[in-house]
Amino acid sequence: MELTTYQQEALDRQKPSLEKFGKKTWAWTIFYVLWIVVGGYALYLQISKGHGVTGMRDNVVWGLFIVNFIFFIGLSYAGAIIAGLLHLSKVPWGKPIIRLAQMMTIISVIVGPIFILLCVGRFDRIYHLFLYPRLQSPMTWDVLAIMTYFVGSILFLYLALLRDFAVYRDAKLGIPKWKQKLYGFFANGYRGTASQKRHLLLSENLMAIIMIPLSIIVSSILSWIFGMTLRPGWHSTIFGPYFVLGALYSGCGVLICAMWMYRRTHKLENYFTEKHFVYLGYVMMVLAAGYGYFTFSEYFTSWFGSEKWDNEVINKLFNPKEYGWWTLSPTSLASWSRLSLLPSVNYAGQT
Amino acid sequence: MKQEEINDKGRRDFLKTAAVAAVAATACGSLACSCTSKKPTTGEKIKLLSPEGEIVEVDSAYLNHQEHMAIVSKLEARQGIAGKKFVMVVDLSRCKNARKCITACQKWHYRPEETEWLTVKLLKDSEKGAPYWFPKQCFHCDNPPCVKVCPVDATFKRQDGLVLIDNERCIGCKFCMAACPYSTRVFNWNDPVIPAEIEEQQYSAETGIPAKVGTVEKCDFCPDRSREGLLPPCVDACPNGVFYFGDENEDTVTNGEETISFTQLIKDRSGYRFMEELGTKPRVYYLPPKDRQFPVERGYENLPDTLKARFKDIMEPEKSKS
Ligand code: SF4
Ligand code: SF4
Repeated sequence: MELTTYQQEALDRQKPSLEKFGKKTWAWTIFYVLWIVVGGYALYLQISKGHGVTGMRDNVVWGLFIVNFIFFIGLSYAGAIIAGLLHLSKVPWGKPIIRLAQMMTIISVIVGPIFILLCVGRFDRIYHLFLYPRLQSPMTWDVLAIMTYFVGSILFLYLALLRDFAVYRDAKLGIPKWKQKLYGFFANGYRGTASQKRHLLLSENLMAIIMIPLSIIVSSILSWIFGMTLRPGWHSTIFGPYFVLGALYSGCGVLICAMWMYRRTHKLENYFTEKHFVYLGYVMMVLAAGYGYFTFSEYFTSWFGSEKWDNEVINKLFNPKEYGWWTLSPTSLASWSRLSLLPSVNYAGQT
Repeated sequence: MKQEEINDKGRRDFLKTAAVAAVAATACGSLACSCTSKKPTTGEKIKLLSPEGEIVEVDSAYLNHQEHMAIVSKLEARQGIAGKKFVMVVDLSRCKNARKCITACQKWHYRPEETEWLTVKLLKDSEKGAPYWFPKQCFHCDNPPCVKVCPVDATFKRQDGLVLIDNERCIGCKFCMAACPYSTRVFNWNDPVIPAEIEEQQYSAETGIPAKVGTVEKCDFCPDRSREGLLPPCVDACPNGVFYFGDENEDTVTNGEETISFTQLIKDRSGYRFMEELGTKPRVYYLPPKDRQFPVERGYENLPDTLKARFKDIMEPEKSKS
């Protein structure tokens, strides 16, 4: 397969890391595996002794796992929406971000549901979800949605990786034969012919078009787990779009952080330029405005109407003692300024 | 048709024997395996209906008396008692927070002191309003939000109006706890401590015994007692006759002392349902705390401090502020 200069350059950069699993990488791997072992032991304790070991109770917030679940799943949705939009809009600077966003999508859609597995009281009965499914339950919708989404995001990433697999297959790399073969297997006969290129682009476009509404749908379904209940403060029609926007907002933030980290650790200054930070900063600013707008409408309407139970929630939240709430809301709304405004001011002259 | 007849006969035979005995051997999960233990047999065979709905013959030597009887099959436990529609009426004018109902409930269900399926709250509807004691348990809603959200059909609505939980199917997702607007459901965070003989009993959704770790539970209106013609323990235990329990189809409710017409009681005493505006259609009605038999303080004065703390903000607003 003919390599473009861009591909050749990238291949040369990656060669050392592809050929050798460096000492540093080993150290990190062992470090993380150890953490997983610690987590596994904690899970063993939780399963054998009951969830009581977590310290959660009926009258102590028991949503910690669920909060994490929503955070990661939200990141995942955001990744797919951002990657899809950038892909379809074909902006030239979007390419490096697309790959990162797709990776974020996959990783967080794997991490997220793990929290739900930790959260259910009977981990050993999780197959009941498939043995006795009740389609009327928003939880079942969510299970179906996340599984669909998982398959979709894997396909989306795979289509993007197809070219890379072909490059690795044809490259002269000092790697074991089976690895080269594996690349060949995943490249799936892609040789970069004109017709293949056209079809690949077509499928990528199609996947992007599917993934954007899919993310919005599954994100809304996630929000309905809360919105469908009668709890004051949750039982709100605004939750679908609110969650979508919240997911995009935090996803964008994580993307900026990830870009910064990759840029430093992999020396990708040529790929993630200041321009990328500035542009994503602008996007974040818009999202923050939207998020603030939703938050404001949500509380303002229920405060103004001040129905009994709504009022109870408002009074609880807007209580000077609620330091958690007071730190969360303003900081989450203001975080964009740290992430987006400052770099744009700093780099304004350089772009 | 034929099958039904046989089943019916089997059940009648069974119910006769069940009045004196229930199967202890069911601990191993099936009746058949009990016969492997070494016990002299009497030769007298007794027909029993297994929880799976099959008729099995067991030697009478393997039967011994048990208070809680898992006498119905899984299917029956899901369908409910034919022709019944259970209701409860709580007379708020008589409650003085004696907490006898709570302890009776805990004793019957082998629940620890901190698990209150039935609890007594202190309500004060408005600033100037007088506080009153408010016993609260599962309302067995006719439009139950908890049932709507369960992903595995572990909590279900029966034809006799009861909302029960199958703790052998529940995956412990706690969605129903979030969905119940009355917060009546409790979760088994730790391995429940249960007497050994109860631990070995065959589980039934009707008895909720033995409790299972990592699952959700709540007031079940004690259908196992209804099947025996008994009232729920809370109704029996209340010294003031606060709870009336009965059948809406028969239009009668009783608190153990007096038996009255349900509709008449609701009509005469302006019965209402808690948070009617939510549309959950509870099966528990309240009679307003009018012409009260006890001053509200009677339920507060003699409480231990841990319980007092729950009601301090209403009973002693000056103190709780400081
Ligand atoms: S009171 Fe709560 S738990 Fe009981 S039936 Fe109604 S919603 Fe379900
Ligand atoms: S906790 Fe159990 S009963 Fe409640 S919704 Fe989940 S599976 Fe159903």
